[in-house]
This record gives sequence, C-alpha cells and structure tokens, in this order.
Amino acid sequence: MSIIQNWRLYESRYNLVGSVCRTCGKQYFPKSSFCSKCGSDKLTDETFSKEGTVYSFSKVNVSPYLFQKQTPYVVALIKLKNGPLITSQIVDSEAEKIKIGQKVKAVFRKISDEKKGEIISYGIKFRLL
Amino acid sequence: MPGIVTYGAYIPRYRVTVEEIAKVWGKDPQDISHGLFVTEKSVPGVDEDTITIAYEASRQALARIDIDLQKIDALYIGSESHPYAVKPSSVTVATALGIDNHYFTADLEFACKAGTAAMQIVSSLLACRKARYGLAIGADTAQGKPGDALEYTAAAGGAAFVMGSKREEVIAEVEDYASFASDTPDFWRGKYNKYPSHSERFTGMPAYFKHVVGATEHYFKKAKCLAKDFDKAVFHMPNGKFPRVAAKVLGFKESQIKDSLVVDLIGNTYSASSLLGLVRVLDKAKPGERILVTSYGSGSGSDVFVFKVTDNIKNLRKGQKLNSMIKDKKYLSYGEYCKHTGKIVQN
Ligand SMILES: [Zn+2]
Repeated sequence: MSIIQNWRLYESRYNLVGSVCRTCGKQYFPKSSFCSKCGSDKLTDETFSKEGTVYSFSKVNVSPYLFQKQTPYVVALIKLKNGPLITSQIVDSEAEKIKIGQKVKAVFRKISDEKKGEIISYGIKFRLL
Repeated sequence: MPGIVTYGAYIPRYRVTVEEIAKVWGKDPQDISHGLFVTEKSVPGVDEDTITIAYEASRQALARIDIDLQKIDALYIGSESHPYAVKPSSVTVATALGIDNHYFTADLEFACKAGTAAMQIVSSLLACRKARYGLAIGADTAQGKPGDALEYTAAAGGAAFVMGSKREEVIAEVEDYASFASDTPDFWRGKYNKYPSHSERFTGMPAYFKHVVGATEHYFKKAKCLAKDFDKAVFHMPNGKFPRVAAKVLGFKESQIKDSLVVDLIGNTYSASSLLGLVRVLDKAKPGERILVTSYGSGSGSDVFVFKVTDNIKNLRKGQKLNSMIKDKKYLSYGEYCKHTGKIVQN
C-alpha cells in the first residue's frame, strides 16, 4: 500500500472507525462505501468499541515478509462489543493461554516492522483483559 | 497556578534480569546488582516504541476523567528514543487519542529530562492562558549497547500528565518550577549511531550530582525552604544508588523518597524515569502533601517541580496503579531481549 493510501486509513486504523449501513444495519471494518448485504450505498462512519471477545485465533509461525520480526504471533477474529467481527493480532499473550470467548481490549501498536527509510505504520491490536 | 488534572503510566510487560545479561558477558550479576540497586528492567514488546508507549500512558490518564478532547490545546512528548529522526511522534499520539488539529505541539529531547521539559512548557502555556488543557508526556525505549554498563538499566516506559487550570479539577497544584543546566559531555548519541556513548567516570559528580543537587539547592534558596518542608521527593533514577545519595546530600530521609524508587523494579526509563517516580508517589498521595521532583538529563540539566496535592485527588477515578503494571511481567531470555530491542540484524 502506498504512503497516501495508508495515510487515508489513519483515523480508521487508530480508532476503529468503520461503516454502518443505514438501510439494513450491517457493520463494516474497515470502512465500506457499499453494503454487500442489501446493496445500499447509504453508509455512515461509526467508531466501534475498543473491547471485544475472541471469536477464533491462530498462531502464525511463518509470516509474510513485513511481520517476520514478530513471529511467532497470534492472529485472531475479534467480535467487537456491539460491533463487527474483525481481524487483528492478540499481543503480549502466549497462544497456549488464549481461549475462544475470552475478553480482549484494544491497544495501540506498530503494525509492520520498521524498514529503513520507510514510514512506520501504527494501529490497533488486542490484549487479553 | 495550573496543576495536574489526571495522570497515567505505561510499562511494557517484558523484563530481562541483570543476571541474564551478566551471564552473556561473563560478569558477576551480584556485583552489578549490588552496585546499581537494580535486578531487572522493563523491555518493550516487538511492536512497541515511544509513540505506542506515550499513547498508552495518555490513554490511562484520560480514562480517569471526563474531558472534551478538543480542549486539549497542547501536547508535548519528551524522549530520547523518538522513532524518527525527522517526523514528530506527538502528532501520531494526538491523532490516535482523537485530538483535533488545534494544539501546540513538538517532540522534545534532552536525554532523561525531556519529560519534565514537556511539563514546563505545558505549565507555562497554561499559566499564560494560551491553553485550556495540555498533555505532558515522557516516554522512552532506551537503548544500551550490548555489553555496555548501561545495558543493565536502559529500560522502557512512559508517564503522561493532563494539566489544567481549573481549581476544582487540579489534583496536584504546581507551586513552582526551576531549572539548572550546563554544557557537560557525560552521555551522548551521534546522529547516525544506534547506541549512546558515555564517559565512564564522568556520570556521577560533575554530571548527575552537580545538576540534581544544584537545581534543588537553587530552588531551596529561592523558595526559602528545606528538605523537611516536603512530604515526598522524587529524583531522576539512572540506577538505584544515585537518587538515594542525592536525597541524602540534600537532607531527605529514606522515607521521603522510598515510594518514588521505581528504578529498583524496572530500571531507568529515561525521559519517563522521574515522572514514573511521581506517578508512584501520586498513587499513594494524600491531600495537602507537598512533592518535590528533580529530573536529570545528560548533557546536562535538571528541572525542579514542586506540587501540592489537593482534595480533588480523592475524586479522581481509580486507574491501573503503577505497581500492578510493574507486577504484570514476563521474563525474556537474552536472545529474546535482543529481538525485542532490534539488536538482531536480519539483512
Ligand atoms: Zn445494508
């Protein structure tokens, strides 16, 4: 993703701002301008809760190039409180200690490893409550 | 006078012990712990840096009060480990916190005293009514060269203070502040260097003690007061020994400084060090108590702050106490510690 494309997502990434369909109520994260459920284009921004529960998770031992320094790490589907299901990392916990249904809260972390001469991207990850 | 309205802290979960580091370099861990009064230090997560630590400390602070974020008119971060050489940390923290575009801001660097420098600027902006509220933050992920004496203490952590001027909101009033500085080459890091350098025997007498004691005595003279006029005192903590010695020289008793000594448990968090000491004192503070804080930044300078705790501290929402963050920990091997602090080069 280019620097500009990343920059446009800062608000969304830093604060869990997604979209909600004003016609059928379906929630989206990241933002969407079109509802895939009912076809409506009447969507507005919504800041979702920074708390949620673990819906499912997986330990990643072999990662894409950008996340090599972080391996092993845990990628999870998080069901946000009154919000959608999103994909994120669970940090500061060993995979063996994580259980489906456990409560998590958002934390602010570096998303990808620093690469010489490049912009560092930041965003939300989760930590067990 | 303005004062602290709320405060927060953040310590990463990871620790490495002096023993684990000493083992790698063939040193006697007891010898080192004995000299430094430090047995372990905090280490950032692989995805943590000064920006994420400053954010988490600020969020802890903001969660304890009801505040319109758009009234935060100033945000300053002091650190010697800003992630970029050029590009401010402060704007990323402000954006993530949800603060709009109208605020005074800059990143500050003055070795370990940049956090209190942030507090001075915010206090001054409040006093001249240029800001309604301001955030003063000290955060660091300090780097110690592998095998160097500083590797045993260079730690990670942050502290954030929302400051304001409304009498009914201030939990610790700023009574006064003062500074003391000189051009002293005790510790430095060149533009393209990953690790700092220091002059071995130079960090004590002509550097730390001259400035910490000098600044505090300068304030005593100015305010016509003595150590006994304070309930608690906080001194910058490069190790556990220096603040204890400085306190003694200045006439403070162990009981006045013992709450502040976070260094014994997590090491030297650089720009956050004296501010985390203040957090630990505020966690236990009672209305009416007077607190003296003297920071120290190599290069060199010291800032003195004097606070008076008000009745409002009883109304501040309970946040996570610093002690509970210190206790929540996971030990790393030396190899893992190197991975966490970017000491392993993969390309
Ligand atoms: Zn819809």
